[in-house]
Amino acid sequence: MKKTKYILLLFFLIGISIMSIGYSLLATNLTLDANSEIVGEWDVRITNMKAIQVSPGCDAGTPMFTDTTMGFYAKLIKPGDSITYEITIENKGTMDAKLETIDITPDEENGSERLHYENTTPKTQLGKGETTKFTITVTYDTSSTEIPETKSKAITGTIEYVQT
Amino acid sequence: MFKLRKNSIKILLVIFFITLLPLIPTGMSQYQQSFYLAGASSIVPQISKTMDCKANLKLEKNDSNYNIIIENRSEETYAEWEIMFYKEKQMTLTNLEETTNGWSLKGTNLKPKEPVIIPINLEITPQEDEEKYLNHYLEKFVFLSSCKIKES
Repeated sequence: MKKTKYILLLFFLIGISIMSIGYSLLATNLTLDANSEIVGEWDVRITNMKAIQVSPGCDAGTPMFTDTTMGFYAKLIKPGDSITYEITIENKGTMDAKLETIDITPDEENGSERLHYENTTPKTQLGKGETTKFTITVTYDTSSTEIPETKSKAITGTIEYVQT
Repeated sequence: MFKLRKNSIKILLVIFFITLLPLIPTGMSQYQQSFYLAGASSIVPQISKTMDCKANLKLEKNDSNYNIIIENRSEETYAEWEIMFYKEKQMTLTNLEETTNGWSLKGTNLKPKEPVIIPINLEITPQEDEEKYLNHYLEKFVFLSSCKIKES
């Protein structure tokens, strides 16, 4: 009985070998030569930051920016003074982008209550090749009648664009 | 002849899924770009009755009008100076140069220790409230003024 099994197995293996050789002989190689590449480019970045309005005597400093970061240090002198910074974001890629989140928050807890920040919002839809600008304005409260003890206030924020 | 144990089946299934894992679309792939903002602002006061810049600034009433008295408190240095008056409701300065936020007054060669008196045309409206608000205005007026003085 055991011997019969071995013989059957041997025939089975020989059969498979013959089928494989036959397939190899009859098969024709079809060569497909093609290349694919990703042509979509994602490139949304900050291209400029500058002070566009500075009250007389105030110091807007030199706004600093990289492709993804922006910073400024403003010095105000008297009530009513204000400085406005304008930031430009450009979609230099080949894909459309949309504004996912914008979260700009002054440090109200530790900062001077006499300094106020306001900002506009960049474009919600930023198509390829498009540019958007937004501003941040800091103002020294006009109703101040004395020099505040806390004289500075920080602001931080995140703006996020994603692929549409 | 070929006995597949339960453990072997489990191992084969694990290998199968690991092989296929990269092919499962996650749906999470999406380009994105975050921008980070960090800024700070400070009040740099240049507004007090006795200026840090070594000049005294006073406002006094002279008959129906007012005088600004500026004195260079340095011992030897002549000074170039500028006073800026913040714009206030009901208050108008008619003989000074108007700026975006108020009025500006400039001068050069201010001698040491020699006060200079500059008459200004200050109009307070309505006039009947002048007495009532005079002290308030004087106080605020000087407070809201600033002076820059530098060696010249």
